[in-house]
Amino acid sequence: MSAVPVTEIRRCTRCVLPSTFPGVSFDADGLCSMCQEAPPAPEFDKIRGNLRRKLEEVFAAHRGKAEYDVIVAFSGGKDSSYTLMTLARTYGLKCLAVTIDNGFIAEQAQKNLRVVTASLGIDFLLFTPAPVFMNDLYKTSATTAVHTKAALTRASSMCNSCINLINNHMVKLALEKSVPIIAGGYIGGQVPKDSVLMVMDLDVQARFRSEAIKRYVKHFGPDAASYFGISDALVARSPLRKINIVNPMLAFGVTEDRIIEEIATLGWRKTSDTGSNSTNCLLNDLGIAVHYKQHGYNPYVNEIAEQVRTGLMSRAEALEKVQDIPDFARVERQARKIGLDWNEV
Amino acid sequence: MDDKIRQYLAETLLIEFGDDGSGVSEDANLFESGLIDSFGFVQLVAFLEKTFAIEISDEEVLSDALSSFAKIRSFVADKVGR
Ligand SMILES: [Zn+2]
Repeated sequence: MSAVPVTEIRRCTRCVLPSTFPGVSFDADGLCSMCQEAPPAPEFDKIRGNLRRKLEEVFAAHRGKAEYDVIVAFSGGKDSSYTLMTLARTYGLKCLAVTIDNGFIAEQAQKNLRVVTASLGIDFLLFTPAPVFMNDLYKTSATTAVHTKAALTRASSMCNSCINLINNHMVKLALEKSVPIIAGGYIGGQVPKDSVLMVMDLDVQARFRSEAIKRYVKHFGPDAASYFGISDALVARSPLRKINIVNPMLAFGVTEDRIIEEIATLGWRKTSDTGSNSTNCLLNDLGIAVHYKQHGYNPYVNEIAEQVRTGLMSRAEALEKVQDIPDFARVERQARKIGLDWNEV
Repeated sequence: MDDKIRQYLAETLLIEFGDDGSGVSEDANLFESGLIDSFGFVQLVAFLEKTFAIEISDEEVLSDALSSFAKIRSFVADKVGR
């Protein structure tokens, strides 16, 4: 943890990654190790073009063969709204939008869920895990080492727990409904490189699942087995052996302003109570503050740095975002909502 | 080769090896210890295939051959030597 004020931390001269970020080093020009290996920003247009073609091949191979072509993990936030819009309109895929209500979806975001799916004429499913489980999940995630170090460089511990639960739910639904593609609205830096298209082999997953479930049950109690697990019977019953996991945002190359402009045409409106890095979740600032207190860097810095590196955000805008650490006194209130004592963090 | 794999695991998965108690043992099972998740594993397989110009079959992916640093190292050495 760093005692240096966030504005005075040494940062990469190209992408804003801080010296407090795990595994990073700087060259004589102040370029971080990730920027040293990255091509110049303009080249990403070509890279994204190639990625779009790869996605289009997958869409073409699966379009029209099942009840739904794709399950979209839909948070109601800007990125998954844009993903849903593009898959439905540009690519003509039959989408099923699925939202997990974690109990902390901002009011405006709940309206956005309805208005976006209604405008697009898309089926929409909402799943609400028991609040008692979710609150405990967040509390434990804030106070216990649950995730790999690498996962923590991409999102806060609380976010990672939630994301894993969501992903697992999507895979379950895909198996139940034989949907060959699952789409997420993740952007660069939130997921590992090459996540634009991953083929999930259900047998390979089984091996991770059993290890992961053991850990989840240890941390979150016996109910975690169903939230984070998939039964062998479900896998056996499904005709699917592989599921295509796609994160199309990595191939689209659109700026935040453009995203918001486009989804506004569907009736989507920005939330005013979710902090500077979220457009749906009221707990997000708590997750950031906990991460900052424990690790000394903003958990959004990796994705923000990646947006700069790939030419989708200016460095000045990025700097403003990463230096905006939520006020610890303010997040204490959020902490109490999940039964967390800030001093335990 | 040893260095390349070690550096990859350190930089990408943030796994540091060492037998003096400060790091992870080279024989430690990366899955059971929770050091690698499914994302990390997919990345690792892609890295090994690309870096060492080898092909890793579905059976090999499913086997125990890539479960620790020591096993990964001998697996790649075998493949490259072939
Ligand atoms: Zn950089």
